Amino acid sequence: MIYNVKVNDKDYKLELIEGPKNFEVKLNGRVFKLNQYQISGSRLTTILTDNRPFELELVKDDSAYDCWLDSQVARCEVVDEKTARYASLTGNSVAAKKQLVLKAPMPGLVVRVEVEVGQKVNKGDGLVIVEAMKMENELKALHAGVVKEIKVQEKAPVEKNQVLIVFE
Amino acid sequence: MFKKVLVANRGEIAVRIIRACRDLGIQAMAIYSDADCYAQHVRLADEAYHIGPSVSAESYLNIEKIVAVAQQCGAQAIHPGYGFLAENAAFAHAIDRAGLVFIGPPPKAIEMMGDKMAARAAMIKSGVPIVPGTQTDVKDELESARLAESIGYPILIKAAAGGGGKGMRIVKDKSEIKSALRAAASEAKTAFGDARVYIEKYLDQPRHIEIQIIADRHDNCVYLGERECSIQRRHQKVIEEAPSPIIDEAMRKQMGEAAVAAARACGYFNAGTVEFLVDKNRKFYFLEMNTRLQVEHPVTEMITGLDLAVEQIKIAAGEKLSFGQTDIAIRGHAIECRIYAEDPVDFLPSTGTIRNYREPAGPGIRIDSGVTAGSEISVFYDPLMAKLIVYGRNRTQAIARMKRALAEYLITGVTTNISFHKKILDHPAFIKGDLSTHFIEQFYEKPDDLTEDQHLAVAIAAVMEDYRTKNKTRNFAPASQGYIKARGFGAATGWKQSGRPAIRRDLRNR
Repeated sequence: MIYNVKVNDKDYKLELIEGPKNFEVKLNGRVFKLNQYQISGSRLTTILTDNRPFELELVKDDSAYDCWLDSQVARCEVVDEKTARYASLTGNSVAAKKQLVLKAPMPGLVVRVEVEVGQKVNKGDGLVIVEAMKMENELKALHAGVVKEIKVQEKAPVEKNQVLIVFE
Repeated sequence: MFKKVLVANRGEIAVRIIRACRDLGIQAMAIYSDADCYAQHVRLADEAYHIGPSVSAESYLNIEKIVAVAQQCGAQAIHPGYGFLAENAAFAHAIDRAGLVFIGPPPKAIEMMGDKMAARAAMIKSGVPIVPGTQTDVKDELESARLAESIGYPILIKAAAGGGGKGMRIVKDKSEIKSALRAAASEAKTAFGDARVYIEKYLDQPRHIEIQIIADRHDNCVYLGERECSIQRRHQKVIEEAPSPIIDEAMRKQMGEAAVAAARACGYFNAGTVEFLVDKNRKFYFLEMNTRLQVEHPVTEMITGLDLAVEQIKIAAGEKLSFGQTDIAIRGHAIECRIYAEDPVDFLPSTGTIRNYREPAGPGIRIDSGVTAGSEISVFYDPLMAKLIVYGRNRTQAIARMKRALAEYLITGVTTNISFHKKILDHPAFIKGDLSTHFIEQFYEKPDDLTEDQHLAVAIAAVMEDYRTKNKTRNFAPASQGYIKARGFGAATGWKQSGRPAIRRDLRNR
């Protein structure tokens, strides 16, 4: 079975071959003999490829995986070839128009909203002040734009990735 | 000696104090809020008392509740830890009034040193050099601008009532002073209940070097060497070490004696730290005194062989120091990396539940942790999860051991700054000991990307997982399941009920 895999921003094409005793992975002409071990209940897996162990943890999130290893998190998407071909045959939907938004980068409490609807902002302007863990963080505009909607108010708690402001 | 001590804190420092109590045969009483009901410090205590909702103001900052619990459980003394009420003179007074012992300095020392400007005034009187700055707090923007001009930009606006980086803003130019004042005052009000701020000159590339002192109630005061804490982000320390790479015996003695003078100037007893800034010419200036046990105290413990938390309890119980200045020897080198729940690139705090957790171990490794697998990191408290402390016979060995320990430390489920520490420990400037409080700004970008082989391992793991979930009916079981079943755990019934084949092979070559 052939897979297209994206790890962060790198693309790979892998072939998974099930052997009589273990699996093999073919990539760029290299063949990796593969052993995989899992500690029950903890999702901590050791992938032993060519006698080199890699300890990691996979968490499925929507259509992709978060892979925790070496104190980092990699984003990984897997599409096996069959599914990929089917998707292209049926035609992908037109990519949705991206809405420019300000999302809360961490959970916290809104201290103050510094802009108004209709206000023009420049890159670097302060938009919202969020307090978390006793520190105040001023969230700044990443691009110039015009404020379309303010979705929060002062003293309101916010979750990570919650939309705070929508731009035109 | 006390029979019961109440630990008025949470997280790793509460665990630390519980251990000190245990070493002395004292029963440790824990307090906890809603969010901490499953916390480590609760599980390790002898008794644990729920004191309120997760919001600090209603739990860990609630003086009446804490004192009431201490009386209820029969504790003779209260250890405040660091942060929260540790430097709150009203707390110390309330404990006194309740007939209990506050494990720390006298309230008047807390008041004097807690007011950063009164502290500066006391230092001038004692002949301890101080950082140039205002003598009183600044009232408004106009006055600030005028004072800043006379001190000379860049300046630092600081909270009069507390530290830890809160209520602090650097101002490079008078155009920034208005917003900086507003932000600093607001943050100071939230963190310390006191919006007063003052202004100091912002020194060029200073090193933050502090002296640990300890004094008993019999007028003995000893300095225990220095700690270098220059690696900071948002004015909060992240990596500390002892001794400092640039301090020699002569300077240690000078700074140590100045620190003892500062302590005596406020009638100090118990453990405390005098913070100095050291400029490029190795001149030192008093910054402030912290009238509490500090987060980074372990590095001093490693190089002196002392247990400071135990000493604190002994001093509070009225004992004399069992050592004098000539008994203190600095040996070896220690480094501490603070493990925070935060993003290693932008340092924004992260939350979540820890899934897998494995601490490093081996020669020279010490971990002071408040968390374990299953621990929940919430928005309510400081994101410090644990301290990784390493000891070596010299700085080179300490660095090598720290790198080994960081590679071994495994925490999943919550983003941590471990990859940040790895990057710093690898940096030539760090290895040379070329430190200043601008270190992170100057030298740090972001952690290294995963290696190519690590990318492949991720790709392969994801493919295997994808294959597994799409082929559930195949003869394909996680190794552990096969292993456990083979050993007979919940064996016969489970086996038959699942209707699966009797022989189960895992992926490995067994």
